[in-house]
Amino acid sequence: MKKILIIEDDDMSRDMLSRRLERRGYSLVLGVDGKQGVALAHSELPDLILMDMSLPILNGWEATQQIKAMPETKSIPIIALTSHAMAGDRKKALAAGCDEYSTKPIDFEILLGKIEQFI
Amino acid sequence: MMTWLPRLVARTPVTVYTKLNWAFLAIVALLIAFGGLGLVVLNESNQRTEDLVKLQRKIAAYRQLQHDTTSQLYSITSALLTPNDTLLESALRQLNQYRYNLDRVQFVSKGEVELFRKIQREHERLTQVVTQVVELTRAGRVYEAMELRHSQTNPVSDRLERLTNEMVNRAEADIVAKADESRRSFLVSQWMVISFGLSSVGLALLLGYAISKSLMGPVMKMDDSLARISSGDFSHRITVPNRDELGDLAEHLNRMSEELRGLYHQIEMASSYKSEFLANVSHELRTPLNAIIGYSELLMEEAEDKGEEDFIPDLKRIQTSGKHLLALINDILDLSKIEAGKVELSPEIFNIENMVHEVVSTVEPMARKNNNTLQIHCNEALGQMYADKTRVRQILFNLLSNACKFTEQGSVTLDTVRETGKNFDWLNISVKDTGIGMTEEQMSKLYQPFSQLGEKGSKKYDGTGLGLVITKQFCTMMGGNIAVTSEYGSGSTFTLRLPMDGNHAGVVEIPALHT
Repeated sequence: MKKILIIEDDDMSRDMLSRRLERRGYSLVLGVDGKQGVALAHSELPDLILMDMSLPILNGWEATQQIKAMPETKSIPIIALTSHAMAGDRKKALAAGCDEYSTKPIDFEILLGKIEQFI
Repeated sequence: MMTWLPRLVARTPVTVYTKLNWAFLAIVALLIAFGGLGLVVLNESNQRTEDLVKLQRKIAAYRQLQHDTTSQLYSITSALLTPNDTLLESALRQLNQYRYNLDRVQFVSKGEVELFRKIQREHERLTQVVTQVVELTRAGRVYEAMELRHSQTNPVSDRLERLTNEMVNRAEADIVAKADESRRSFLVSQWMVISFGLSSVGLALLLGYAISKSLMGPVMKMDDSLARISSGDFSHRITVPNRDELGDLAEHLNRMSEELRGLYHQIEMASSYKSEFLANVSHELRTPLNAIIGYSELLMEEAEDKGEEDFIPDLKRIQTSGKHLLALINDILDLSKIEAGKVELSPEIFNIENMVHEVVSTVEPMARKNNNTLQIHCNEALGQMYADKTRVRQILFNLLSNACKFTEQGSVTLDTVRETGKNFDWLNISVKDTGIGMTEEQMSKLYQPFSQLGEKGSKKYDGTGLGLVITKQFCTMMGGNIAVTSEYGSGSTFTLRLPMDGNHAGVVEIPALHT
């Protein structure tokens, strides 16, 4: 079973995303802030990370940079979840080391397609 | 002179009306003075002509006198040489006649009075002497008469002759001098008239120049200022030297500009607040909406799993409405960001054909839904373009989805052409449909927000009514343009023109929307 780490501070978004992914047969690990996300990435070594960009404590870009900087976790693909139409955010996410991005609100079918590209 | 005089006129603190009247009066005064001078000169000239005529008549009289003198002296001489009564009588008569003529000589000028007196005196003596000689001759004292004639008559005759000659000579010299003087004073008068005329014309021109310059200068400045104001530049202030109505006008114009600037600033601020508010509201709205859509989708999946088919149509309605609301919010957010000037294009190089096919693949289901055939004319030869790919896609998607939406059992045709320009190439895209088309009135409202919804709320077609507004704004931002032709009932064609070199984007200022 493929393991996905969701780092998202909004409870409903996290719950909804995790339940829908669970139904598709993924195992989920959930983080609520950037710092916890980096720790979970290190301890759980997931197959893929869905990273919200506006996170408390440590934001998505910094968390991504830290994960990509650690040798154990640097090969884990990260999909950034960015706000709608914020061209700057998208660029920043890719610059920070994200492999793909999906704009919020998330079109679940498109996101699934992107996840399947990596795992 | 060319600058200080108009300024002087401008600074004179009287009304324009008074200035114009003064200028008019000054010119009238010049005309009167010129006329007066002409009269004086004419008068002088006439006077001189009369003087000359008088002199000529005087000379004629003097010549007559000279002639008379000569003939009188001749006849006296010949009478005294061969004395007989008839000749002597005639000589005496001639003397009397001469005397009579002499007394009646006119035009004797002051300088000649002395000379004339001498002539009179000499003639008197001549008369005396000749009378004596005649008396002596008649008395038969021929010898004495001859003596007297030799000693007295001849010298007196000579003097008389010399004096009359002198008189004629003097008069002739006089007329020559007078003619010279007349010519000189004519020249003087001529130059006076010419110079006075020229200076009058010059003065009138200068006055006209100064007046018109002092009036037109500020008018042109104000015109320029008004042109700036009408193009939205309220920072310009004009200074005019005028202390008349035009000065007041300029001051009022400046005040108006200042007032407008304040108002414009307030409007801009209000517009900016509005856009910011909308952006924030849209952002805040999207978060719960996200949950509504997500959970309704989740519930649909779970209902399917659990066989609760009854719930599915209602859940579908929640999801569809949620998506519509989301589309509206996204469009409003887009618009408010465009208005607030917060949208920045991020151009990249991309392959046009690939982009077109990506868009077409998302539009195909919509075309199928209305039984439309989709004809796409696009090939590899178009190459690449440098532009904001997301925005170009959004534009193309809007046009194609609109065409599919408003067409049933028809066709939607996409044409793409690369047009070679002077400095850079253009991408021309046309989207042609055989749908319901538009009336003139509908076309005039095409780029107004929510005009699609405006039709009595009859919501036959999906969409936010903001798609074309956003499309047009993005086109303009990219330095391109969009045009439409349509015939009611038989279809529409949207023509899009975008620069393929995105460096030319953004040079066009985005006009504020009147939402």
